[in-house]
Amino acid sequence: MSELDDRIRQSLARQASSLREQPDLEALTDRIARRDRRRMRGSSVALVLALLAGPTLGFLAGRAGGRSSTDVASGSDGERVTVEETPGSLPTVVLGESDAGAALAAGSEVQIVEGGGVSDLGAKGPLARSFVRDIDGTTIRVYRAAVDPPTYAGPPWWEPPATCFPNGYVQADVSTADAVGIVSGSVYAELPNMSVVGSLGAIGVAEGAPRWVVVAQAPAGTARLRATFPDGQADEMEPVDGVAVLVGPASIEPGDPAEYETTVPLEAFDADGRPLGTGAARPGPYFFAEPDVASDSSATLSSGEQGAECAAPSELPPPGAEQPADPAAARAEIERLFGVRFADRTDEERLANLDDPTGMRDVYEQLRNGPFAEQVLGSRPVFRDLVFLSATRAAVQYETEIPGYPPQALGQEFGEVVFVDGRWKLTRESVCRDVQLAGVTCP
Amino acid sequence: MQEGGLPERLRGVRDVVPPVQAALESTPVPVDASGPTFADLYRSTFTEMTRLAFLLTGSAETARDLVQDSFVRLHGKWDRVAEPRAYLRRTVVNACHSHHRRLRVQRRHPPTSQVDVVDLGADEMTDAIAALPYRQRAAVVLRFWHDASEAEIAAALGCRPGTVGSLIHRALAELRKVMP
Repeated sequence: MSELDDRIRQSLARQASSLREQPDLEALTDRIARRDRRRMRGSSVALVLALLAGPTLGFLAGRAGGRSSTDVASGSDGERVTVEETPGSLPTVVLGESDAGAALAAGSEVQIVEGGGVSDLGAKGPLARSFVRDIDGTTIRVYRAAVDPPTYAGPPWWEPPATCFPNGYVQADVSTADAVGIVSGSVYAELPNMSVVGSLGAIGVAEGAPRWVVVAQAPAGTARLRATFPDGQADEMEPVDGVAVLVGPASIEPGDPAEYETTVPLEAFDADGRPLGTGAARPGPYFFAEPDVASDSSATLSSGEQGAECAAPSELPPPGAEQPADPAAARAEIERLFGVRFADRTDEERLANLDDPTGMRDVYEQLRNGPFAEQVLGSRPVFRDLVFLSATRAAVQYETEIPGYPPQALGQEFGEVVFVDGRWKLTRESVCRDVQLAGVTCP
Repeated sequence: MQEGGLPERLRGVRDVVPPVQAALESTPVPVDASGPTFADLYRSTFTEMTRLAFLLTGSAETARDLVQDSFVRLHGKWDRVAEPRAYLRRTVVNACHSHHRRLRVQRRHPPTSQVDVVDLGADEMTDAIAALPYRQRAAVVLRFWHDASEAEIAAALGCRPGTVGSLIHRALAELRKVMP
């Protein structure tokens, strides 16, 4: 052992021993719980997307007429970007309707968040082709579609900011001489604070010819969007309708955790080369625009997590200016809408308690025969509190007891009741939010 | 359906926090029933991993954060990881590398950057090691502080064992230049 080796060892040992961090299992527990909530929230969004639309809503507006294309941009040597002339409105697709439905029927978990960049759900097309990019022997065919915003399982009075949930789907079909693969991402109606967001995936891993693929959305005014890959190589292009698909070399093998853990920095520049914003692409077909907590930089956003503004409120809203003439009597009447097991009420009674019962008889029939029939029949909503938003509308907080499950298994739930036809009734929207949890969609 | 609880999708929709801590205490290592639980591994390796991350990032706060995140990742893959310690070490090294890359990007945009606090101390050798390229630095730390074998270092860095020798050789050459 040389003197230099000794000095290195002593120096490192001295520095390391100066750190006296102790394990904090409680903090780790909190962090894992937050991860689980985020993961399930993402799963919920996709599940709701999948469940809500149903097989008949494949797409609302298909590609009308033929497709034409124009070469509008060329980037680095050997690059060609051909932008397709897509129709005015994108088709609206259901993400993974068939897969999610099958998984639900089988009682298995729908995994979408840690998909390694390739959506486990995929999209049920047809999609509209957006552009084709040829770069260094790699051909990228980019397709897009609109997705309906999720009917998110938050209180009825809460509208999540547009930056919280994507309204578009991007699919990049990537082919090289050795492999083909699909990497998907999302686009938002709004991106906060000049952020750049992206999802990262690898193709060709099993084929021994891996390539990183980034599907990214850039802020308005971006002339070049750049991704810098782990080996230091960068790829950049002018976004097409705000979307760029960038590719770079990868050195990963099958089973390599790097496929699921790598982060690729993203940078957006304006036409004069000035930086507009930065962000990062991480594995996963879905990304969320949010401030990067780790870097605490106001203009640096990352993907994979959502900010607090995207979390549904957990308390009742403040009361409205107008209140019912007899709040106590109104409250007592509303409380009677709760507290009865599903199996102990007839459909007629349930329909009479709804402000709009159209088509709901079929919904109840589906609940009785669905994959969660046992839980549904035994479930009992328990009233907790309410706030009158007006003389004829109230926000209600309740819980659902399910036999065999822990108390508050579904957490604190919120709904709305309205005063119509001389009595208080549950809103159809509130009931439909709940039945989604059992895999049934209101018509 | 999960035993004693809701199906994952049902549970998640309503933001229910599962009894994570109890699960941590009881989750066995899948490949060896007599092995430690996740919590055991956490308690026994946290300090070591935090010091490793500290040597690679120079920031105690960042080290703690990255290591906690690494354990979160390990927890998510607990039933699929055959060698949790090796996986953890690699995850920590990767996380530190990602941290450095993120800092590099931020430094290219000074108005929006947030420079991490580096509290390496006044040791010249420490400063010299900190100035090495990340992979060389990681190889040196793993070799001389962690006493890791070439194979272990290669696994942590995601490279071939032969590359490890080259990384350490170049690192030592660089250190000799600045530390005569």
